[in-house]
Amino acid sequence: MLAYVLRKLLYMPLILMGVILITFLLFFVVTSPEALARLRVGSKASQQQVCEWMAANGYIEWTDAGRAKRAAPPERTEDSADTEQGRVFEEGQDFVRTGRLVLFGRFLRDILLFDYGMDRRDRPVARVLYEGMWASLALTVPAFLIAELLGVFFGLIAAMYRQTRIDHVLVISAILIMSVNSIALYMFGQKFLAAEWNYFPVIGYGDGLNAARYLALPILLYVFISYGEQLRFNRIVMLDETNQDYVRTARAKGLNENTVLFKHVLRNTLIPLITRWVVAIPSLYLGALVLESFFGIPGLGYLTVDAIANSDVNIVRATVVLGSITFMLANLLSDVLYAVADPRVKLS
Amino acid sequence: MPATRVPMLFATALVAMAMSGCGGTAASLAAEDEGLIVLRRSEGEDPKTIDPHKAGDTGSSRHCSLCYESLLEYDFLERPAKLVPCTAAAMPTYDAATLTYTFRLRDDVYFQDDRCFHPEAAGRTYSQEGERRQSDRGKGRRLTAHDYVWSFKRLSALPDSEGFWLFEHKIVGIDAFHTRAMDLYTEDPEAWREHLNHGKVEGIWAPDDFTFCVRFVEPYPQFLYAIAMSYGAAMAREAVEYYGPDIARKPVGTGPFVLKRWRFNMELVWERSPTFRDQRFPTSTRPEHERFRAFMGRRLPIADRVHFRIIKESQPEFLEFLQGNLDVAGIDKDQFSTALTPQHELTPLLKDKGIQLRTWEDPYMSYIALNMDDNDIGAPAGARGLAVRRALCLCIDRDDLIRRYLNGRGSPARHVIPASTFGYSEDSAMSWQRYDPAEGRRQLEAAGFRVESIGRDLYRTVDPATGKQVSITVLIRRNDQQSADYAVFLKSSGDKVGIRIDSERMTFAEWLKRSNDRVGQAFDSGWIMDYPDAQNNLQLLYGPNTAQGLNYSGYNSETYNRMYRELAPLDEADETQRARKGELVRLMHAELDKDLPWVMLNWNKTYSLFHSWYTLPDPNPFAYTYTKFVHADTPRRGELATSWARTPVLPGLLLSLLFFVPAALLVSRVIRQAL
Repeated sequence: MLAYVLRKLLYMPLILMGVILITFLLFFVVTSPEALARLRVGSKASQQQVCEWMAANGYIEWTDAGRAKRAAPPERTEDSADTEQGRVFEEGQDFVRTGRLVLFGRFLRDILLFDYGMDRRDRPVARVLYEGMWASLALTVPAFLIAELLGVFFGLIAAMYRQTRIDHVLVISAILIMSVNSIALYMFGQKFLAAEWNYFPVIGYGDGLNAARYLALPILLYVFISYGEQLRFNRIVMLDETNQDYVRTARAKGLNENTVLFKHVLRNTLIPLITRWVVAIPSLYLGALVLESFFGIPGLGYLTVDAIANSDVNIVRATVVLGSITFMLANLLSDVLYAVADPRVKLS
Repeated sequence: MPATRVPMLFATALVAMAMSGCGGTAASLAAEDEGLIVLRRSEGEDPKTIDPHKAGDTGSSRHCSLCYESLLEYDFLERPAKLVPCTAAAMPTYDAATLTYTFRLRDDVYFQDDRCFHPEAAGRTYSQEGERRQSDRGKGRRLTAHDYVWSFKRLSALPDSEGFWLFEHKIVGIDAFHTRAMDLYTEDPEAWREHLNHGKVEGIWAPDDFTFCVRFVEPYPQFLYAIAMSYGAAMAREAVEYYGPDIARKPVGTGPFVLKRWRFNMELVWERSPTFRDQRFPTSTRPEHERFRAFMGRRLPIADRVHFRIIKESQPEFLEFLQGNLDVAGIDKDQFSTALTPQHELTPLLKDKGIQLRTWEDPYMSYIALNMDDNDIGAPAGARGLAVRRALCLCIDRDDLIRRYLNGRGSPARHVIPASTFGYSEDSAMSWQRYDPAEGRRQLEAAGFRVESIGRDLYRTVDPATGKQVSITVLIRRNDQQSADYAVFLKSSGDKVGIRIDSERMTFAEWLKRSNDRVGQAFDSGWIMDYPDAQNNLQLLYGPNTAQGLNYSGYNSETYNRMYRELAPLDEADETQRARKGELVRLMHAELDKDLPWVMLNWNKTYSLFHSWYTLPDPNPFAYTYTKFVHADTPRRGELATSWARTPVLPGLLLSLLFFVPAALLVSRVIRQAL
């Protein structure tokens, strides 16, 4: 197993490099340095200031002609191309663009040096991720654990009472919940459970244990909305297992139904459950986008979307790298856990 | 206790806890007020920065103005907007011969007490000392004219300064200072710092501690408006050097409020600055100012604390407002029907709570810039291109657009400047910027196009030379559901004159790239006016500004350019120049109506809701310093908000009967069987 783990770890940098390359290409195809400059210096800045920003950030280099031109005042004649706000600089003549390869080299170097720079609000990216992560985890970890526990529990019950009224009620309720748009449920919960009936705060977040007061409703809604999908998934997994020969043997031995289900079936359903749980790990620290936005939880859910919308290259880079590493580690962890959960699985 | 009862007890406890009203925030907020005057507001997102030289957006400017001050500010009571001294002792004197403004500063303005002024902090930085030392503050020193000299230089030396465009090529020597700073910024940061601190700008100087002078290359009457923006704020060199990049989150100014707490994505808390100078609420005997009577002569700021909560979604913001946990709120599209009737009056729900509505015209216009270099619709297409542009202007039902996408919060745009700006007159309304698709079709036919009816109110305009339908693609700077609906609206508008209007929706960054490069036929655009001077909007169509990314249409009319060059330096304070300026604005509109580089869409209107305990200032979209004048009757808010926060038992019981009780029974049954 150790050799397998080491081999997987050695693949990781290569996969990461691919992810970084794709991120770089996608980002800089969509967003030009001019657009980045405009987002930083404002849409009202002159072309010269935009060029100055690009030069200061390594996207262009001034030519000798450009250097001479930028120091001179604009020509204010009738036929001049110069403007009220500055001189006009031509690509090729006044400045040259830095090559994509050089830019990618810098992009990669910063990642390797763990230098993620500042976000568009001039905050260190590492601090932004660190601070937001805890609020996201405070929401997603308990919500995920409760949802999974209830899902497995009700899945087992549905399998245990299959084709009975209990099974029908559980399945129908799951389908009903899945049929309702989750945003509508968030809005309903917030409007009625919080604003109208005052059972929970509408929005907010607190420190320490006070956070629980604000997290209760979003967690409740997360669990409620997950219930449908959880029940259907777990029920199917459990039913698949209950049709296996070893279950028939256990029942034939006279074991009671609870022992069969909770001791034997549950252990053998761990492989699909582990896959599901481990794949969910990267999304836990990244938070739940909509829930965080709706309930004012200062987590990371909104961060990536906001960064993409505002071309915040440093945040995008950091979240992509962090997401990729977490995802790869989670995959490795799931492989190891397969072997732990099922002695038949050999890692080689 | 039997194990089977545990789930039932757990469910009961959960429901009882919720129904006890543990969720209510009204009582806890009232307790937090501690008998102080606290303003409770919300923001859709955190300010981008609280560094006034980088604050280009309205959110950032709003927060900068709580802490930093400029030489001038907008009068709180006077309308239309009028500048008055802020840290200046009086309005500046202007020497037309030397193009120099001279400001005399007040001598009672002090920076807020802060760690950066502590003798122990000299030569050290925030990152070295850390947060623990921050409570040991130094006494804020007096503001001098040298602080303005240094701050103006900083605005010019930062590569990501958002306000340098206001000074660039205007102040004597500023360009050379800026260019040198840009070279040093990457090459040698230490030399850059030296240049900032000791480099000279010929046109900016302080003859003594309380006199500040600025000399210009050419007349620049908009300068006074420019320095009333956050870019004109004075920063303390000690603070910038001590905090480094953290100055964006650790503001130290001379303003009325001190930043107590900023928890990202959550809240910003500002508190009254104990060192703020003795500034008083202005007095007036005019009847329209009656509602401010109680505050006249009172020391500013009126409020002790301003609490901003970051609320991204419109529903929770509106619900918090209805609960009385926010003093003021806008009205989002989704909340419109809850807040207002179709006649734009408050619904009974809001009226019963004593909520009031205030509406005003925003200096924000939406327009579609038509690429004047395009072969099909621009200048190269000659009379046929002009006919297409006319048809495009005539096919848009602006009232319908405003009704559909702005819930009626706007007015059709027929001018390039808002009604509140000097130079505006109904007579100068552009004649083609109206809804008349029949006339649009006539214009197309007169230009030689063939207009075919293909259904009820549906047409197809064909170019006989190619046999193809006339079409145009508009680049839209959003990529959400609303922009998809807007694209459908544009398409159906085009159908009325037979022009196929396609849309390309994209992110703002991509749109910026395409519109700056002018790769596209038409660009869906918008502009918020920076200061109440027609020049600010008319520059968007000045030909040479095409390369600057301001003039997206690339409109380049010699006549218009000449008039703009004449208009820009005119001073409205001078009666002769004022009259000429008014005339030029009219003539420039006539020129635009002749060439039609834009399809004007609408001016926005702001709708604001506020509670009875809150004194909302009269609107002035250019002013960000009004928070210091605002009052909230905090005890009344606490009383009302608590009375509105009732916790009914019945819904909770019904929900528990529906969900918790069956679940608990099921769990009990399983446990029973297992045992």
